[in-house]
Amino acid sequence: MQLKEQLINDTSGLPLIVYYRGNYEDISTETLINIIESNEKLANRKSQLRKVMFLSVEAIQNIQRYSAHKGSQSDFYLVFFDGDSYQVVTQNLIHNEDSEDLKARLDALVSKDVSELDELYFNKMESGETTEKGAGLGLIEITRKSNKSIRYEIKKVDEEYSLFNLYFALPINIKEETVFDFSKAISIQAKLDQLSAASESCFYYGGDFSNSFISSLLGLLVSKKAEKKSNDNKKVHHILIELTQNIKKHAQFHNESARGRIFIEWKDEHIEVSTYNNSQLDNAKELQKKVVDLNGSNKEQLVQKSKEVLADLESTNGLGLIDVANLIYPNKINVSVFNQSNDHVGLLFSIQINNE
Amino acid sequence: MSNEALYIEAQEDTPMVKHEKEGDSNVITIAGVSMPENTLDFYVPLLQKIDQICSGTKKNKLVFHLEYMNSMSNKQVLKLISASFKNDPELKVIWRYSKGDELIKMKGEEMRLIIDGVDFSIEEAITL
Repeated sequence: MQLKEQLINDTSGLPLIVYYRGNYEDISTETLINIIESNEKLANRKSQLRKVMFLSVEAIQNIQRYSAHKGSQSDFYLVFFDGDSYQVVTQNLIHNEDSEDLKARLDALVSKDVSELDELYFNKMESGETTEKGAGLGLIEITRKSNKSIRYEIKKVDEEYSLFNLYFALPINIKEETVFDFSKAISIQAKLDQLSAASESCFYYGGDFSNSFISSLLGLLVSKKAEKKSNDNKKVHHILIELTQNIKKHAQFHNESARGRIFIEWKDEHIEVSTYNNSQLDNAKELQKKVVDLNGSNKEQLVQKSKEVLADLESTNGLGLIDVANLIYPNKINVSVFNQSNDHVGLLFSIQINNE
Repeated sequence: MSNEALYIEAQEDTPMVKHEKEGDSNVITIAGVSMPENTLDFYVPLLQKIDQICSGTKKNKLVFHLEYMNSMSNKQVLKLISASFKNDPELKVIWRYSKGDELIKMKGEEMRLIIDGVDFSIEEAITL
């Protein structure tokens, strides 16, 4: 089984997962938060989702402020909801010389009880004590608001750098303090590490595919500085709109799990977009036939097909995949099928958009 | 002829629509993002409204500058142009696209070919 398929299956029970790995100097915090917020309608406990958003701002800004920013592949933010709790993992590169100080600060925070943390927080607020990179309130805030579930790891990479991982959780049933088991987060993180290793940056999402999500996703792409240099970004945006709306249109779900999955991988030569959703067997067969036909068509034939489907105003035939085939030509649409049951099947679409 | 005003504010997934008078003719501008999940909810009432406004008038203009248009909106936009052209054979369509936006440009070219005889110009927009 391919890595993406494994990851889809391993995360299939998660109603929400958002992951972005790349250069955090390059994107705005707000765009990632908006993506989480676009799932508000589906959240059972909206107050917890708001809290996740609030603490995620702190966590993402910590990456932006404190990362050593050597190579964009190391830094990431991951959040997921498994029905019981929201779990957040961040990773950023730090200079080895800073690791002892960071460790001491975190150990000191973890050793305090909630009232001591509150006192520390308000003292810092009142004193107006700030550093060049902020007041250092972010970690205190995350520690106190996550019921001290935080855990961290600092792993030396080489003589100059270490990787800093921060974990925290917000369970739906709030307890005073939580000794949290992050084994699921660590296992998902390991798969995402493998997947994103060959990319300059990587985005993975599962959740609601409403238009609010699509707008937020386009916001993330627009905020990527590298995107602005490329005339191709509009092409990517059009393709994302069609593929994500296809997920919503065709996906069949019987439970609370996410409606589908999307991967965006920014590589040296191209951007790869993959989408996954369940579909009824008959519908999936039709789509596969359509893809074979589109992949066998040359540019003129694709333009002609588009014109014919468009001109037939009464027909409900979709133009979406024809548009995608046109935009990525001469590349092809790749579709693979897995997780087949008697009446349903999982469809994974992948396309590559060349950088010009 | 109707003097009804038409202004629809842009939403997250639907475009801004505005109506202006130019002498006896009408200029309808549709700009922004068009990717509603249910295109009929937006375009059926819009088509009726434009039909009322432009009824009995000639040399009307439809000006489009869409940043994004999903494929389902594409058919509705074509319906809107076709219906307006049927009522006003002197209709002018101005289809603007942002620099480098190959798809929106291509969509304009396709529609120009499909609606035979309409005065349909395609131009790169200076700013949105």
